[in-house]
Amino acid sequence: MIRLKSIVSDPDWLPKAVNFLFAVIAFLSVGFSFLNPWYALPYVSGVDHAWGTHDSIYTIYFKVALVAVTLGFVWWGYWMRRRIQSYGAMMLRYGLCCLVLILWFPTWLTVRDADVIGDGAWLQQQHDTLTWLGGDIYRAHAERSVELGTGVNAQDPPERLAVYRPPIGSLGIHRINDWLWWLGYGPAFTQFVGKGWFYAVAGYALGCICLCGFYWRRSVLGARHLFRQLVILLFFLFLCVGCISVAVVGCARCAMVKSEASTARGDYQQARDHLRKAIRYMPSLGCDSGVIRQLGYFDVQLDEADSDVALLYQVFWFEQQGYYGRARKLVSRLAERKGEMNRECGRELTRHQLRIAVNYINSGRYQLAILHLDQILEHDGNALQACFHQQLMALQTDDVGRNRQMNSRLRAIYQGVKSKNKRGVMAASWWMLAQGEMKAGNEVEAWEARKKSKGQ
Amino acid sequence: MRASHPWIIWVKSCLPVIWPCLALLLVGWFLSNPSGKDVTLYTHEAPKDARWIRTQDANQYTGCFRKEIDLPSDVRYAWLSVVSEGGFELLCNGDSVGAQMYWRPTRAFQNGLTESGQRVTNNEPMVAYNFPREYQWSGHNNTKITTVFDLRPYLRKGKNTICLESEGRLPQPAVLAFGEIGLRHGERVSVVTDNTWMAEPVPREVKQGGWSLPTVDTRHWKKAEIKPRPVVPFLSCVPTTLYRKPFDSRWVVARAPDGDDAQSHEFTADFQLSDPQAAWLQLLSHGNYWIWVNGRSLGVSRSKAKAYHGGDWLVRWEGRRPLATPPILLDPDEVSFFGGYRFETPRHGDPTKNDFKRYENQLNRTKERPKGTGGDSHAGEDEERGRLQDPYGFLEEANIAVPHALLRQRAKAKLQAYDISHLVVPGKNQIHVRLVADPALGYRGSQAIKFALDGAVHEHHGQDVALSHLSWNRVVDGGHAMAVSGRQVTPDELPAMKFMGGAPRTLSRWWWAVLACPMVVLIVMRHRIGWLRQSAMIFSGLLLVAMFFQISYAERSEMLWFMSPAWRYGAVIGALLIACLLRFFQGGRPRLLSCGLPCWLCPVILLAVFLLRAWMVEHQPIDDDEYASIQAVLSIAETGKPSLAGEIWYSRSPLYHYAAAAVVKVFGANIWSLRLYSVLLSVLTGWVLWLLARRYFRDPWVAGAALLIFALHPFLIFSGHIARFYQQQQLMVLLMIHLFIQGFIYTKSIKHRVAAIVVFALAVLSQEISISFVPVLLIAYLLFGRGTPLKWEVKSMVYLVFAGLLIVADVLLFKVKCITTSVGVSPNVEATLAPTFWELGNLFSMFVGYSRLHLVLSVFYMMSLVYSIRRGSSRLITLHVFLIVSVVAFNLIITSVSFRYMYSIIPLWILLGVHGVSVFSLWLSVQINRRTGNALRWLFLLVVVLSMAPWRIMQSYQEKILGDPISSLAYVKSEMRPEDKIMITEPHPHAAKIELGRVDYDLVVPILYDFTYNSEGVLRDRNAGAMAVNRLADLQKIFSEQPRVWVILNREKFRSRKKNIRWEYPGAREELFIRQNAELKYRSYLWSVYLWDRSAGAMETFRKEPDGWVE
Repeated sequence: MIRLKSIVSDPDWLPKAVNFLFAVIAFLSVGFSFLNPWYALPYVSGVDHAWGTHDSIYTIYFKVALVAVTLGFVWWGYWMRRRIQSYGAMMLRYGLCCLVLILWFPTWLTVRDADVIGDGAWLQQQHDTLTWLGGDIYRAHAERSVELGTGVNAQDPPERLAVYRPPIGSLGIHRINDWLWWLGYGPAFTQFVGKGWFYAVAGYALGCICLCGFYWRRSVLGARHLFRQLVILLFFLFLCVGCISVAVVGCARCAMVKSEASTARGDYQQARDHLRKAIRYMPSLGCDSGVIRQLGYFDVQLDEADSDVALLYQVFWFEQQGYYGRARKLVSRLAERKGEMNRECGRELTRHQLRIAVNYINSGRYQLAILHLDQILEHDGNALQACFHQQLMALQTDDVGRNRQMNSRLRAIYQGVKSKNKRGVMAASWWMLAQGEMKAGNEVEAWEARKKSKGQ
Repeated sequence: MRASHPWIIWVKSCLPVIWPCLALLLVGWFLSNPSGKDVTLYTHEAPKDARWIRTQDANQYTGCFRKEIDLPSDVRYAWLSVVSEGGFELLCNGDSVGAQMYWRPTRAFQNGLTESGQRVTNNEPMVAYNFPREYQWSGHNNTKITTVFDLRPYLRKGKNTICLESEGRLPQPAVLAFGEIGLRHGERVSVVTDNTWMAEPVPREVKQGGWSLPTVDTRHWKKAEIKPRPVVPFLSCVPTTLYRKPFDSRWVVARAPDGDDAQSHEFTADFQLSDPQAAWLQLLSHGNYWIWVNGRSLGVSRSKAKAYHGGDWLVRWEGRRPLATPPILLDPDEVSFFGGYRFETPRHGDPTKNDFKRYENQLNRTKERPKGTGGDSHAGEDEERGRLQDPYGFLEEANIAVPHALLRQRAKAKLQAYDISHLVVPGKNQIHVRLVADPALGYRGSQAIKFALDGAVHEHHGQDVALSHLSWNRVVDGGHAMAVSGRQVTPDELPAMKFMGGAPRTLSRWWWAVLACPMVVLIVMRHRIGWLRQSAMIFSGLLLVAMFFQISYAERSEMLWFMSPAWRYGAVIGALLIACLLRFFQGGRPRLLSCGLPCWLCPVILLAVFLLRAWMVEHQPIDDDEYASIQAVLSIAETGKPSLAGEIWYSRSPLYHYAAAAVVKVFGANIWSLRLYSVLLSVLTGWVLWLLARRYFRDPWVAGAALLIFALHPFLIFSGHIARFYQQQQLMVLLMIHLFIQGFIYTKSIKHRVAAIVVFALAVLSQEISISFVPVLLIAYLLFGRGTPLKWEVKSMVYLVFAGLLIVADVLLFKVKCITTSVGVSPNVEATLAPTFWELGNLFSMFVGYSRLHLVLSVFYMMSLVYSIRRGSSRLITLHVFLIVSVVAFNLIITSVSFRYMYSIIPLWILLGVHGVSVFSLWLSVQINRRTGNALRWLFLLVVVLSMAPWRIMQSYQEKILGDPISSLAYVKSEMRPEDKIMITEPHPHAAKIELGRVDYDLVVPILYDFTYNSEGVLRDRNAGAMAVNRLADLQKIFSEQPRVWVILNREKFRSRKKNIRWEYPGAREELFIRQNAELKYRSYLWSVYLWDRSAGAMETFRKEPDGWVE
């Protein structure tokens, strides 16, 4: 039995106690990580406006993998119990393996889970469009005092939707930021990363730190030897993980280079095959508007002009040529079969619909804009810009009910957004609600909303 | 054993010298291209009569140069080559032709050049530009490289004007231009800059937007002054004769035998060359194409979007976040009643036009409103389209001009030029062009599918082979048939030519070297090949260092060195120097560099620290944030309280502000006392760094080298003299790290513990962001913290609580006295302490730095890290843990984090990086021999220092590194009358208050509520109490009420640095209004002074109806 006196007589009792405390926190943190989502993409239902979050299927795979690694180490510990000199060192190795695995999660999510990360990128890019210097929020601050007009010139949706830039061109050291995105740490991940992932990283990292501290205090010489082994292990783990991730990007690039070369030669069949091969390497590449257009272009050239991608390419082509009426008709035609489309095409179509709605707003055709925005929100619950502009339209057409509805919807979506500049969007939304309530004669509600728009 | 021949002995003794020489030569001759882009630079010589010209005004930082030319006949070709000391914009007959925007030197070289094909490199910066603190650096050397423009489409028969607007960080920025205009009948008009050009720093007595028009009279302007600067040959990616020859070729028409245009068309042409030296071609087309020369595709960077070359490959490499949407013209199907230059949305109007002007349709006698759009209609739309819902006037009366949507060219011709010197070979050559037909989707361009190709190959013997009249064959079913040759291309069909580059993409040869060298080293070491060991080590080591050295220059103008033959001569000289150095050491004579450093070294370098920061300390403009601190310091010195406006205090960083106020109290309120306090703190920091290096590494060389890099670091030099808390925080942090290690890890004494806690509190009181060190300290404690006797622990706790209370009090004071009640939420996010998890690229910013400043030393830093892990040194590991965890913590705790906020830990990075140099050299010593290793240590230090481009430091003292409001305010002070009103852009009202004694208006679009407070219903600026003006209506009202208003504008705030206004940003209309109504009087670096004088003329409002102004 450990006596209190022996503890206090240990000169390192306080740091050890602190370490123990943090080790407990680390353990709890790991436990919490299994209970919480690792990716929390906000989602508002188009039907009942219920708020929730979507997680990636890879979270489950990774949690299972973590359990498998844990059981593997337990089994190893039991099997080798007579040969293992230090269980702590084994736990450190276990911790590092888990940590590397968790840090690999964003890569898998970003590269392979095209549906979820595509939705994340779409939401993130809409938020960027609202808040960039020149976006709706900045313009709202510059122009909102207009009493008789919309007060805000609605901002177009992103010109191109993509999770990351396609891996073409040189992949050298100067593309360090692109590499970060290809390895999974782009804004589509960082904006919606769930608490569970943080708990997992913090838990395992803190646990390893506490164990390292324990060994350091026990024997500095022994700890040095152990640290060296751990660093070598960590290096090899990262090397393995990194090589696989880099190879995937490299293979995708290779396929795209071949696709480009085939396009140059006019061999569209082969070019399409190569591009699809690139998408197989990196499925989220399929969310890229440029890739969708390119596939559509190939389809048109190969006389498959009625596929979804081919029609989306035609919309793009008409817009490029300036024939927005034709583009609008095509978008309406596509909207009828939106439910049957894959997610990538659906998002691209939403982007086009949003752009049409924004042009209607800016040219004063509000009823048409409302119609289009309603269509968007019916299928795409978290079309952020659609919500924001629908609220603007509600203010303009004195529809206070819709105004409130869109405000609550925006609040719901923004619960899941991490970026600090979301407060600018919410302030603008509260301001629009305050104006709407004021017009409707609801002074108390208007005052409450106005206070919130001031950040109070 | 037979004795060797003396010369064999001599050769053997020279072997260690020969290898590094060969290595450097190899680097120089074969690996001189770091970017993987085979750019050839050509020499462009200016005519003898071309001169550098400048304005006669020695105070202003801009120049407007204007030359009028009468052309008796039509133009066949015209080009102008422009070089500037800073940035420039070229305007011809009022049209903007191109520009080189002048950005900060921490941005990549040629970042603002509109002619992207003429950029030497197109790499993006490795570290994005986010809240920078500047370097004490002069700007990129733009005077070596020239940019060529095609002027032909802008010129016409009769009177023409060619104008250049220059901008620089030095007063009187000079420009040089030379070119030629070829006329229809063969006459040639030479255009060169000389003293016949008109030159004024601002467009004197002419409207800012109109001075480049030929109709404007500028005879009252002064003549340009010749700057006595030699006119040397310039470099350019553009082949010398490319723009100097008129396009002379025939159309090649793609007409299929079956008449179906909806398919691709391929053409080939063969030609013979004997000994080609340089070659270029230009291709005119109405649609997408692909082109190959001798089977190799022309490699055009993906960043050059919107080119016809490869235009049907839509997976483009665009900006990381493409947000801005290009202007959208009205649908030609829907124009109906709309007319003129109308766009789909009013925001996308032509930026040079005031689209908000009301159109009065004189033909509409009934004054009825238009009803239908011609497109989709919807019930209820008619009622909506009234005046009330149309504040921008977009839907008002139609004008009678033909709609632009109907007039525009659908298949616009583009003339794109390529350098094909790398692709042509002696003997038979082939050019292969594939024209891509647009898919048959209904609407197609009216132009037939065709192209025209012109070009030339310069042969070694001086003869030029023209490519304009090649015989083209059409590829049909694998065979060839003669292509249809069309008519001659007429000059009016030619758009402005754009140079696209054109070298094929190749993998940088560096990567082969990087792969090969470690392999060789591994093989040599694995198989113990003794005679190769030393050579392979030195060879690989030098290659590695040379590679990183070269890569570190890739974003700077110094890059040009490596692209010119001079680099190779430099490599030879460098090799010889190293050979001599190593030979010198091999001789075993000198002990100078291997022994301890002399005792006078530290004071000498400290003196250098002082001089580099104190030199011309008063010359640099005061930074935005610096003004806030100066205001607080002066207030404390005067009243004892850091009050800004009324009861608002600037209570942040009290320790710094009170200490600086004490200095001001003793030495007086002047810029020297304010800034020299920071300089002295820098010297103190350098001394502490020296002491720490000696204590932790027990190597005087490391201490001396770390102090030297600290002294020469351009970022530290700049921030080291700013009258703000940065330097004090850096000093405190360095001390804190040392005391923490001594007190909590080595548990030396309770004094160290207490001192660590106290210094931490002082660091926080110097700069509140230092709280970010809490997790760093905690992790270091968890890892390495040791226990002490109970009474020590209790004492530590007491001090910890005391420090915590002090910090809490500081935060409370900040909340109560500094933060004003918010009137609204600002759209921007100021840097603050809050969990942050985005822009993770900033994690690398410490190890890369703006302009790749840290790249070379970071390589050595990695060596220190590896060494620390191998050796298991607790001190070293602790220092590494401090640095790495600090970088992570700063990025996860501070919003909008960047390199700037990691300022306090840069000395630690220097220390560990220099240690890396030392251990790597030591390792080489073991592998080779001690003396060579020692010599290489100095060589590596030299490389690290050179990678920071220290020569730029000395040049920079004369330049204005930041925007200069002081000169502008001084001008206003000298010209203003007592009744004049002062308006200045946010966040500079405090500057105006300090410099002018008062300020009336704060121009801030969009409104930033964080910097304002509500005073009796009026929004006022926090720092100076000026009334916030954030709407065009307010601006118009002020102009209508006040007889004279000085408007002092920071040009960076309005984001329009050229003639055309950036219409997509807020504030564009305000800027246009000021440009149209006020007279531009003065410009300093990045600042403009306008004067609104009611007596000067009428005011142009956006709406001329009384009370009808809508912004």
